[in-house]
Amino acid sequence: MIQPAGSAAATANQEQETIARARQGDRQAFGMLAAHYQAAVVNVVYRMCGDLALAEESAQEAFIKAWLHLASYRPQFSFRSWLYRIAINTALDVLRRRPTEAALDDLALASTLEGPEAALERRERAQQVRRAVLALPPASRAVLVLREYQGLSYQEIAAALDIPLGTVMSRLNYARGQLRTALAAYLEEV
Amino acid sequence: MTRHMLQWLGAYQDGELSPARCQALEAHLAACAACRAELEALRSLSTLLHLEPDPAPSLSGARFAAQVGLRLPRRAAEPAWQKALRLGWAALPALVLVGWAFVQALSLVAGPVMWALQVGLGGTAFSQALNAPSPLTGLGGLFGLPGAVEAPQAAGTLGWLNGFLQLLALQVGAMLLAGILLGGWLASWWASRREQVDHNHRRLL
Repeated sequence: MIQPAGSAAATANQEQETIARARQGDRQAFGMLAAHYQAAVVNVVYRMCGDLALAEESAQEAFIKAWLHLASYRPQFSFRSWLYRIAINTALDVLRRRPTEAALDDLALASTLEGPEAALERRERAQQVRRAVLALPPASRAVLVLREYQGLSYQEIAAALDIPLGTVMSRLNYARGQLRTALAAYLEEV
Repeated sequence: MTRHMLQWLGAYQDGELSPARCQALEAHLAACAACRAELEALRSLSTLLHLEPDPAPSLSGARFAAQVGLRLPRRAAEPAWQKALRLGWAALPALVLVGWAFVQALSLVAGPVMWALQVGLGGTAFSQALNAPSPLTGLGGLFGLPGAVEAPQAAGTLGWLNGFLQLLALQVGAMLLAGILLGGWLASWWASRREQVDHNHRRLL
């Protein structure tokens, strides 16, 4: 298992070794990578399509694609960005196959400290946020998801989506502008 | 009136601005209430987007990996010729260097040896060996050295000059070829390196 502990360089080296083994066909090494990146990939796909079950299924698809195309991964680049690119493309494929609005999951949003009314209000707000994100054009949504939910730098996003840095910025500005309009009522409460 | 700097606010919030631009924007923000309000709105939006926590996958990492493992198809191994080509390309500078050193050594050694044989320093045995078809003769012929194919006595100044020019042409040709190969390799390496540097370079805005 790739341990999160230790220095960043040691972890990166360990990851590169695991990737190198997986590239040589070591399924166990690839399993370690899948276990390590599962949550992040599921999250990316979930934020793209809004359906957790679908996201989990698509995340498996994304890892299978990653396995098949592992030879095309170049070790000098970020494996995470490469993987997210596959995850985003898989999510877009899923959305193309199922063009109807994805079911909005009710995640466990309720806090034990808040009453039923507050919990309901919180859930409704979260659903509105998710709807607004899902209403964005896929290209802008992908940039927003990678920035806001995965914390990728602009450069990493540019590499992951194979777009210029300026396009990352313009898509992000567009997405944020759209969201601000759609969620204006909720923004004042934050 | 100061122009608003709305297009940079998002990058500022994300910590993606260069120090110079960041400083300029901060100076602007200190004086522009409208831009400050915009920045605050962007921060609120980010908070709102994070109200919903990241989903917790229903499967543990190990079970997920196991399921993925079951679905992994057999992957075709890299063909041997492709691997050989890749490794050969990676080792190209070393191969060119070895080839160049070999040609240099050969030309350095061949000249004095042939001259020594011509003037008879090697004795009759060597002269006979020179006239006989042998690797050395072939080598001398290849380099166009006087006396390698013809008898030493036949080689005059003109023959020596001819041999020298042929040797020079061979060396220039070899260097040209090495230059083209190394140039191609360096261009390929540089393109790959540049891509990597671009990838790692942050805060370009």
